[in-house]
Amino acid sequence: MGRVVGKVTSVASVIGTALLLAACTVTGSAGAASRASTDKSASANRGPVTVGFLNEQQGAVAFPTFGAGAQAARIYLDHHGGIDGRPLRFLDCYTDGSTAAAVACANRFVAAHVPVVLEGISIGSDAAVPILAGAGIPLVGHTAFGNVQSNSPDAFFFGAATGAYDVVPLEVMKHDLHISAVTYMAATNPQDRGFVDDDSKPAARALGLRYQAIYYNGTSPNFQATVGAAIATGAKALFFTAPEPTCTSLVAAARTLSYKGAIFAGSCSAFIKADGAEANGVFTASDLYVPGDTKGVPAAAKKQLAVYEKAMNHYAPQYTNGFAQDTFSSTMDLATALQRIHGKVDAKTVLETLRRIHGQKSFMGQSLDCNGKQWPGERAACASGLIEYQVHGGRRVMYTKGFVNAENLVK
Amino acid sequence: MLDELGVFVVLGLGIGVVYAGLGLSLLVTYRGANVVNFAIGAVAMWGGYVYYGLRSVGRLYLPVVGIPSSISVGGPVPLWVAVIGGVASAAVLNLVAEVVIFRPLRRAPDLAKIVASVGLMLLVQSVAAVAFGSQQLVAPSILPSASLALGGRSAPWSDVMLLGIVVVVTGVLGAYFRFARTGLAMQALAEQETSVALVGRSPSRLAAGAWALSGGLAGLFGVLVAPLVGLNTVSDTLYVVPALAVVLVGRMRSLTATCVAGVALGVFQSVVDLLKTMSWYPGWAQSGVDEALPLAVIVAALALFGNRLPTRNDVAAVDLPAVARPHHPWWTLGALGGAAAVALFALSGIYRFGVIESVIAAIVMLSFVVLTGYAGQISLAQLAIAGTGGVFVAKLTTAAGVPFPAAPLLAAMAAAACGLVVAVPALRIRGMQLAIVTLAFAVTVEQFLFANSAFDPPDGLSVQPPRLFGMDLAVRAGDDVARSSFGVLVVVTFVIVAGAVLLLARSRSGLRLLAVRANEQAAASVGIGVTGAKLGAYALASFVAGLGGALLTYSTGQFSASSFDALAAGLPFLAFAYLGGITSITGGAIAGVLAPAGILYVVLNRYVNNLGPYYLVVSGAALVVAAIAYPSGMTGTVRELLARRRASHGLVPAGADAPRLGDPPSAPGSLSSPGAPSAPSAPSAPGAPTAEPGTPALSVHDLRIAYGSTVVVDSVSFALFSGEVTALIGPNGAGKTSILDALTGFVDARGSVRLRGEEVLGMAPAKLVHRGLVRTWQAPTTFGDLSVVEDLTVAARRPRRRVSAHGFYRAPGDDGDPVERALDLLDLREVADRPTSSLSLGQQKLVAVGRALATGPSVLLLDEPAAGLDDGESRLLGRRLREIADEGVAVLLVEHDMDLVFGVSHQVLVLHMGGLIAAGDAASVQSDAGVRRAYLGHGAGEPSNRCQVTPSVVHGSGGR
Repeated sequence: MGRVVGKVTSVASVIGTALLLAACTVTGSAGAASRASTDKSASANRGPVTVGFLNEQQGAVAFPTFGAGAQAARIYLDHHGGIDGRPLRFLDCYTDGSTAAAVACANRFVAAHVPVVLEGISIGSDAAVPILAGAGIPLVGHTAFGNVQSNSPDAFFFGAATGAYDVVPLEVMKHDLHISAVTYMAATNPQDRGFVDDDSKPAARALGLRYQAIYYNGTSPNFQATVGAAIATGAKALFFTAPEPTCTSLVAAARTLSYKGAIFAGSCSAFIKADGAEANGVFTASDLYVPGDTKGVPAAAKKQLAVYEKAMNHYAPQYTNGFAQDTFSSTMDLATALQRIHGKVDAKTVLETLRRIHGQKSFMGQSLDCNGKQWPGERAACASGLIEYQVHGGRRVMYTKGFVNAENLVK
Repeated sequence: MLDELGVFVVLGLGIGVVYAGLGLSLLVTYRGANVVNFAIGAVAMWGGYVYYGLRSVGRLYLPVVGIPSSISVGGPVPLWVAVIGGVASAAVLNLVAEVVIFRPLRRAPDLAKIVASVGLMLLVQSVAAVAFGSQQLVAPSILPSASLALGGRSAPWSDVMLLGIVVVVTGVLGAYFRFARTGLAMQALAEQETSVALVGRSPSRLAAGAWALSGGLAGLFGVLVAPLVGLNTVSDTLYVVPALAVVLVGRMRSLTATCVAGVALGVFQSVVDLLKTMSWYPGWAQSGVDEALPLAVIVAALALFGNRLPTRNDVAAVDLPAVARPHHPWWTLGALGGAAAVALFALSGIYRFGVIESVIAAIVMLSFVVLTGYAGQISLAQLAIAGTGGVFVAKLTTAAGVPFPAAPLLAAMAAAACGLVVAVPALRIRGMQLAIVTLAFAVTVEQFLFANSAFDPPDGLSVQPPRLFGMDLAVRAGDDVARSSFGVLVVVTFVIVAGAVLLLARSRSGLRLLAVRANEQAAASVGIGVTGAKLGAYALASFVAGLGGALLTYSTGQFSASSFDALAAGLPFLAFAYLGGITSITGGAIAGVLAPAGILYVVLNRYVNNLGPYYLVVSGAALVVAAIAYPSGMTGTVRELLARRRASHGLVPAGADAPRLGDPPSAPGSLSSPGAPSAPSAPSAPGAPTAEPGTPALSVHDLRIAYGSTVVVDSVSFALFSGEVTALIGPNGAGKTSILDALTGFVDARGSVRLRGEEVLGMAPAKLVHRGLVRTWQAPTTFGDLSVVEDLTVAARRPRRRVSAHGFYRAPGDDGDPVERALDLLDLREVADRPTSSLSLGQQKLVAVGRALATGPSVLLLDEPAAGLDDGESRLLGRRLREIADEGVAVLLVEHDMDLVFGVSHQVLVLHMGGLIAAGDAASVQSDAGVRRAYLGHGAGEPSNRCQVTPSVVHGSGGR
């Protein structure tokens, strides 16, 4: 499963240029509102619960898989009692990753008085956060797509903190693989540099690893030269957190250059099929139990995986093994939280409920605690653990025994 | 270490081949059709996608949407079929683009072509996104995956093979253009389309061939490198920037240089990646250096190859839509401001926010109006400059605590400083080349500034809301997403900026700017400081853009780099400015309405649902259609329609029926009637010095002019005397105009030129004009957007103090305005208010003479002023020239009209093959046998059909 935070940062620069289309089309691709009711009374006691849904659904840079997961979860919920008997509805606002589109969607949600906004993926959504916060509307999702939202007291993300993706693999390298030198490849944008400076470098220092960072042009990279430079440092492990296509290319480049050391490909998964046999042995992280490999998975999570696969096979089978799992999980987690509200479901009650999440088991995932202390500098993170998988025979096989937490390395 | 270096040299070959291949494609289109196709990266990308579709999916994808856009071919095809399919698809796509888009734009302004290629880029990207999705695809390998062993390290053989392929392609292309008849014809097409047609070649077919060839090349390299760099709708498009850089290194001419530069650039970038691993490599240079390299290459190329001023043989200045200056500017401003205010208060919520964003966008668009519309500079960096305003206002308010309004004003000043950096290359280049440089600059600013964590930290860069005198002007509060107070701030700012732009348009500085826009040569030749005008335009436009960027940042609450992205946002912004009308305030306002996140965006967002993924395609297509159908932009088109309607209803502009110069008079005693009584004295030449007749005004000694190794003028010496007309005659190519160019600072020369004793050879044209040495040009050089009186006004000098017996231009207490006197002297009074572009050729020539006179010259150099005049006009000109000389001006007349020459000249110089072969009065020159042989030919001296200008008709002192 792709590491969305790596996508946030690296894809930010890719999307920046993809806005070539978005700038002309931000009018069209963004804000194609659904026919869902926007009446304030939708949040009243017996009507549907309408939440805002923000996603890059169409256009040049689209991630329909995120939308598919959320819709599949919504349909599943409606067939299984909804939110305390009330159907769940989405007020969709689709962006193209631009700030302008995110601001427009935020304005729309505020105007519609939605009680909460669920985010699939929206690279420019940091701009939406202060607008929503100003109106008291919380933002929820699986992973934060920007530093502003990851540190906002009014945002809640049910996946692992983004920093965990830069740190947990280092822990595994050190204690499980006994690696002493690692080179991290990152895109040249402020977010990725922030991850290096704030997370992976301090963690490597704490673990006693020899660590070096190599930066590449995120929009038009020379993958072979980048990997070549990383190999030239003498690293025993290559490590990167990047968008899926970049992961695929980096893995391919490493194999082309006959690299024999360990490769940690963030939370990517598309390379498994794309790179074929070259993907074997590569490590990849996930903050959810992934479909297909249930060995070592707790019983409750196994059932949830089955629910997910069945729902997705019914709604959008082509997206089952992608990011849809993230939004399915976060939609179910949000529904669980909303179920606890007895009375009016509005921004105020939702915000209070979210702040009180403690020990809630994430759907297909780990225990959640939204106390703002799961990861330094990421107040919005409600979890911090990752499972490290290794690819064998075209499948991800669990390498670590469950979730690994490493926030102590950066505290 | 050497082995390591060798590996990185090899690793850089792949990407270098991309640059070289796209550079070759660009060059083929440029050489064959004189178009820089910004969409070439997208075309290459399309070729790669089609290859992928055939090889991996088993479908042939077509560049269409809505109808079946792919055809099953029965499963994945063999490699060679897929490669040919990809290449052919790109070639066909480019060919269709030429026929449908660029052929109708062949005579359109450069700006229209840039907009059209931007639209094409959007179209191709969006079609690819519809067909293949947005995720990056991994294309199947084409070349063997064997590794090359380099001292214990591995490098892919495929990169070396790619190098071999691009070298072979370059060689084949070179041979084609050099030896193949069609190739030679294609090269000639770019230089002389008419001549190519006259030898029986079809320019349209040749251009189509060039486009198809270019597309095929792009497709070939798109297919070859797709397995290396991956397939996505973004990266390939971006390669156009380094491709443009290497084309410039090749001086937009050399295939070999382009190829070598492309490969070298890729290798250099790869070696930099190796250097980044060294312990001594500075941390601040870890990012941004790669992206800055193409700009560095461009700047270096221009420093070496660019010229400051266009030379005589350069194509004239960028052809842009006509400038619109409203007849009632303050009404226009009031209407625009009023409309914005009404919309602001009539709407609320997201609609009011849309109005605010539109007005902010209109402010940024006004910077395009100043820079591109008025100054003729095609800059693709304006939005990046606006972004600098956004970064600085955020930094100033948060880090330095600078309050409003100081913060946005300081931010705008920082943007103006940034704009002056962009202006430097603009002093040497123009048109498409300038567009390329500014695009590279914008990309570099984006990487070094916007992506720099020192300026834009990972946590984001917020901005403190504006407050003024305790009043909260923040854009939003709580549920109110668009407060009217912020809206008022934005509207007021727009009105002030638009008012300033209107004042500029009507001011003398504005006229000078329009003169520079129309013809830099002519502007320099009348003393207008071209450098100063351009720098001023860049500074003002950048200030305005910076202000817009600051307001945009206030509206979003934080700085957002994506809003100022060079390609994603910058190019469409220019396109919208063009669509609205880039030469008028109203056009800027309309562009603001169309701009992203503006009111139109919000309305479409709300009422037009389910546009689906096809909206991108519609947007790109709309841009292309607009560029073809509305080259003057929406406001320009409306204006033209209204003008045509007025004309069809008989509402012709005043002065349209004014008699042409030299027409038969309606009253007796006309100056133009042969044998008529002497006309009353014409008004004296404006500003003519009262130097003593016979005093050398200009002395030329041993003048030598060479173009490269070709000497065109050698050891020429002569003198011009105040109060006399000296003619310089000679066959075509003798060097006459070169002498004028050298005397007035437009070409380099050796020897000595003394103006009233002061050595002036090599002095800049504007300085010479200030000293009283002025020229006209062979070709009509009016400033098309100006009226006749404005054309003269732009050159007119203020009264000057007497500085020496021979050195002043207007005697103290001299009467009259030089412009008025020039109008009367040359009988241009009746056409004074007409646009110069509407005059006959002869009248335009006289306007040019009048402009020169308005500067108050002591030495006047005229280059074929009678060309295009009829007999009557020519005679009148002759009389006027003697009158000008009688005022003490030294006149040098370059002419082919021998009746005029021998009728008015005090002395005649004969130039032949770069040297003077005779000098003397008319009679002695006419009887010189050598002159007869070289120039006058058999029958010289026999009566001509033209009316003889006899000495009795000519006033003033006699010849020497």
